[in-house]
Amino acid sequence: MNKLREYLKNRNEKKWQAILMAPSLIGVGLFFVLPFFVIIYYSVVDNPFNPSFVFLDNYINVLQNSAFLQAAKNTAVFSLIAVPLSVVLSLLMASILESNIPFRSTFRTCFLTPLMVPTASVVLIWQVFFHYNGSINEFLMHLGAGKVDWFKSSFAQVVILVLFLWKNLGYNMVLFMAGLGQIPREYLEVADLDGAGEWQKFVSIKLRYLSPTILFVAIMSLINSFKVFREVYLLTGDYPYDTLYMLQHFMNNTFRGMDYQKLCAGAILMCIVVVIIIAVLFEVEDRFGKDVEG
Amino acid sequence: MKRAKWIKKSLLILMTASLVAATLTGCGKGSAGNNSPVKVDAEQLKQMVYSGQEMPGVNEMEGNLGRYCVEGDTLFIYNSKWESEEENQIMPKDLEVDEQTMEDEADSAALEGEDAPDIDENDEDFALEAAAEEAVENDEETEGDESAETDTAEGEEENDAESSEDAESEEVNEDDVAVDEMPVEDTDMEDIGYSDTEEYIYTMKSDGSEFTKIYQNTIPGKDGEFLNCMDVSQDEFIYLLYSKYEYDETKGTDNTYYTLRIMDKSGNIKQTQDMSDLLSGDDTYLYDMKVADDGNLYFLMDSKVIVCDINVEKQFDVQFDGWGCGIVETNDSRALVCFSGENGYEIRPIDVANKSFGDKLELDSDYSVNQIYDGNGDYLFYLISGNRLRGYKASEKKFVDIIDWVSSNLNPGNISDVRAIGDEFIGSYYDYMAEESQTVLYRFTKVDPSTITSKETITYTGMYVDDDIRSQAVKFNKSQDKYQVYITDYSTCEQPDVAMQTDILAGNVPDIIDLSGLDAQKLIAKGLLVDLYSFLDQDAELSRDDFLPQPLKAMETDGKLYQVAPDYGINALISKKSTFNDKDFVSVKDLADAENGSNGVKAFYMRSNADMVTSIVANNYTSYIDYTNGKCNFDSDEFINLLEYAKSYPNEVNYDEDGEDYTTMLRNGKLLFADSYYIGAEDIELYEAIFEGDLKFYGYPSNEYQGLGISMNRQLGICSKSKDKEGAWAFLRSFLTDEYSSGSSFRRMGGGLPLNKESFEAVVKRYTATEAYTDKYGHQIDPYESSWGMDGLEVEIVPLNKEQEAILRSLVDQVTHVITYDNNVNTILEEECGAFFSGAKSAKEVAGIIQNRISTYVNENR
Repeated sequence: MNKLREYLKNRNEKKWQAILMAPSLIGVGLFFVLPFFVIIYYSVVDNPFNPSFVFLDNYINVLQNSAFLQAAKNTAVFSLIAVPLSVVLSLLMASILESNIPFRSTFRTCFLTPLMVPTASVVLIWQVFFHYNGSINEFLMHLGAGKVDWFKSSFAQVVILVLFLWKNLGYNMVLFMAGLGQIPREYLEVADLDGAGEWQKFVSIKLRYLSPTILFVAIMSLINSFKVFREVYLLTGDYPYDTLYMLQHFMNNTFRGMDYQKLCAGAILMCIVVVIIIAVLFEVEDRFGKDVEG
Repeated sequence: MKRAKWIKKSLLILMTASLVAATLTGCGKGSAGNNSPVKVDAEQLKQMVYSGQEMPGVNEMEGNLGRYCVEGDTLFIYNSKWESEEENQIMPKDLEVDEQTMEDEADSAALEGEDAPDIDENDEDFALEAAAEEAVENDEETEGDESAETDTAEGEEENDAESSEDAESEEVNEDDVAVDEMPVEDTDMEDIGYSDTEEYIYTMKSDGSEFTKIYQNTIPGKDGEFLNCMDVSQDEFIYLLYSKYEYDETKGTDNTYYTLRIMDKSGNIKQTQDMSDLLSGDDTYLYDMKVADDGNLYFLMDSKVIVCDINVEKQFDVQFDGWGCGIVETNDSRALVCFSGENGYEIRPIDVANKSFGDKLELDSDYSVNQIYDGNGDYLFYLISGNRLRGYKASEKKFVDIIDWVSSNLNPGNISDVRAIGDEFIGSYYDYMAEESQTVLYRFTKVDPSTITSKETITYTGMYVDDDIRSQAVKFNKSQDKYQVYITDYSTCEQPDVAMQTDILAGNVPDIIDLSGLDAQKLIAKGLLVDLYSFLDQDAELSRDDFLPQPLKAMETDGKLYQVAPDYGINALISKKSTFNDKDFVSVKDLADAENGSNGVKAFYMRSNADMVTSIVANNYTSYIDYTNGKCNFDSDEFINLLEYAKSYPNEVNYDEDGEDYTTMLRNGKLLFADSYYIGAEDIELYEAIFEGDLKFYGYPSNEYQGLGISMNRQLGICSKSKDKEGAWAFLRSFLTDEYSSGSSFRRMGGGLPLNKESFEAVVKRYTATEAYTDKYGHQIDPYESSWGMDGLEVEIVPLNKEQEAILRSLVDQVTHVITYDNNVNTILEEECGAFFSGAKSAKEVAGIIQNRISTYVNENR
């Protein structure tokens, strides 16, 4: 009898769970999962007007397209540099601000300010600084150095990297500060009693407890590193200097050019890479953080 | 437990993946919007089919239709007849002045084209009369009532075609020049005057019954008076507003006088009132008059509406910022004013109680609202927009499609001044494409949908569909029973290119696509278009041999004909042969050398530095961009030389700058090139005169021989997804026939050369014949005579001699490619070249950046 009651109770709960989950699941299904399958379909036909199945031809075409490869390389290089830098620097800043330094809250506010500045304004500021006739070049000229074409030379990615870090470090830092605040004080006190040094405490206790936060920050930074296209686009338009040509440029331009097959094949390839990265991050988080998770 | 975790993880990853993919591909972007033309629904179209018949009784009327009004079910028709007994009439000065006013209005040009086919080619004086008549009619037209006003764009084109150096018309150009150049001082005003005008007013019921002439009068030519506006009050009094221009020689000013005559329905003039004080003034111009059923008279001026009571006493006026376009009476007896202001077209009712404008009407689309007509029944007002007559339902704040003109086998460009009577419509009809036509009244009656035979629908889509296409569609529809062409015109959409592209992506692919303004090469690469050779080679009557080989080859892409244009313009530079030692082509270096050797010599006239770069790249597209291999050639010495050469041109062209005129510079050698986009037979004679026989035609500067480039006029293609490609070809091929190119004298007046060989030979014959002849379509062709007056140089154009004919033929033989204006390439060029022209960067640096950016673009599109 009890078993039956428990079964009915569980069933009732599951029903409510399903009802409550339904709107968001329908939304995701309709607007993301369904289009995802449409994208897969488009990526294996030759054209949307008179479709015939071509299997992997579009993928091969995209993989042989030097613009796509350039975009993929630029995006990968940017992400590979920007994401670790973003994680490490924001963790460092959070650790510094966690200690009792003067003007702690002022610094915290300062680091968060870039989040409030609209992208268009950020772009304007960056243009004022990094334009060929901008402030940085004026300053360099005073020092006797030559002008650098920041947006149209190999320095371009550095400029965007600085912009990315300036904009995202504050948010990541707050996430890390929250993570650091969650670490049980007892462990740190025990470690102090056992004579552990600051570095040992940081590596063995704090980093362990921060692993879910690090994973989250890394994923967020990865997503944000893709979204840096917005700033690049506003700074340099549809066809920037090749080092700034990102995957989203490729996607946007091919969409506008009605090249749906190329667009979809590129998106699926990109998606596979993102899935692998996220799976790896999950696995890493699993291994490092499993002993601290409930 | 572990399994559940993996499932959770997998689900999470799948959702992330779909999120990434869907976000990247921009799902949900570029919605079709509200303005996209609807998909063709044959049944819906049947509801919009009206039959157009000439009004019964109109044949009995004397004179030509001037204007007409409707009150209840009665039509009041004003006709006039120009008395042409006096042979040597010359257009008076005041009409010339008025012609200037006409030029300010795009509408005015249409009539020039309208009358041109009617001109008796043997009557040299006719053109002068026609010009004067046009001036008069155009003044009348400013009300928005005349048929010629219906297509402003076309009017502009005609005007351009006729006034441009490249125009090929025989009579009209000649006469235009003559009129334009007639010096005012040479005309003795005392000796001249207008012809007398006979005017008639008729009334009739809408079914043609009770036809009565109620009034006839002769306006003496010396009075110079003509009817400007006409309307009828609810109690059937006819309001006739006459205008008269007088030139005050002592003050050197023009005065306009207005007289209002109010007539009862029996034709008795009850009141005559001088309106000059009210309506005349500096910089004011009367557009239209409306007698509304609310008992008020409304005079639409260029920037205000004057409201008078029924006794013609001024009550108040309301001002607006912008230009008045039309005034109509709504179904609820209010006056509705259309004007174009800073924010586009606005339509507002006049609030008589508050002596101001009422609220702006909310329109669901940016229709071409400059042709609005009186409302009735459920509709506040009507308008012709694109291919439809639409009625505005105030209650729903939206337009309802009422007549689909092409489906009714009517060309909307021929129809204007529509009035609704019950469920029927009356309109002025003028067939622009006919050899001889005059404005007549048509009645449009709804056709019972069940009686309409279903035909296979062929859809024709273009961003800007002109009346020529509609006329051809109507002709095609009438010529056979199997297919019905339906036209989708995107010009009424806010962003025609975006709307069209989105529709195509959504699967609403037409059968025939007009590729003008689209990137045809991209569509070809995506497999949207079929090879037209597959149809041409199967055609029973047409074959490849029927077309000029070089232009046809230029239209090919990789040996296939995905797009074809019935005519094209040859773009060439014309220079003295001796300037470049009779070389076959010129390079940028040649230009620089020629300029450097002489003081103040420039190769091109009125060009900016960026313009120089983009135009030379467009004309040598394939030498700078190799799409097949994804290579660009912008870091070459050739391009660096081009940048350095272009730097000698200004950043912006100052058109107000006083300097030597174009022709003088060409003649004295200070300008090396005349640049012609549409070379015609006249150009050969004109430039022979300018260069005194020492002339040569070149392509744009290049390092090796490139031949001549062409611009296609209306390139057409058949979509690969078309369900009825045979039907699509049946319509498309009609544009490639000699009948299309040579059959209409109206079309013959346009610029460009025909692709059809027979039509080209007809063009050659027309320009070389020294004796009059009749062509195969029955057109009487006189030996070609014209004259050009350019900057003090008078050139008499006569039939081409053998050498000149050979030059014309050789120009066609030199055609090798289509000029490619790639907006993305041009944008990059313009963005980057500025740094070199301003001295901020070296030519090499700029060339490197351009190479880098355009390479990305080219590789992306491979």
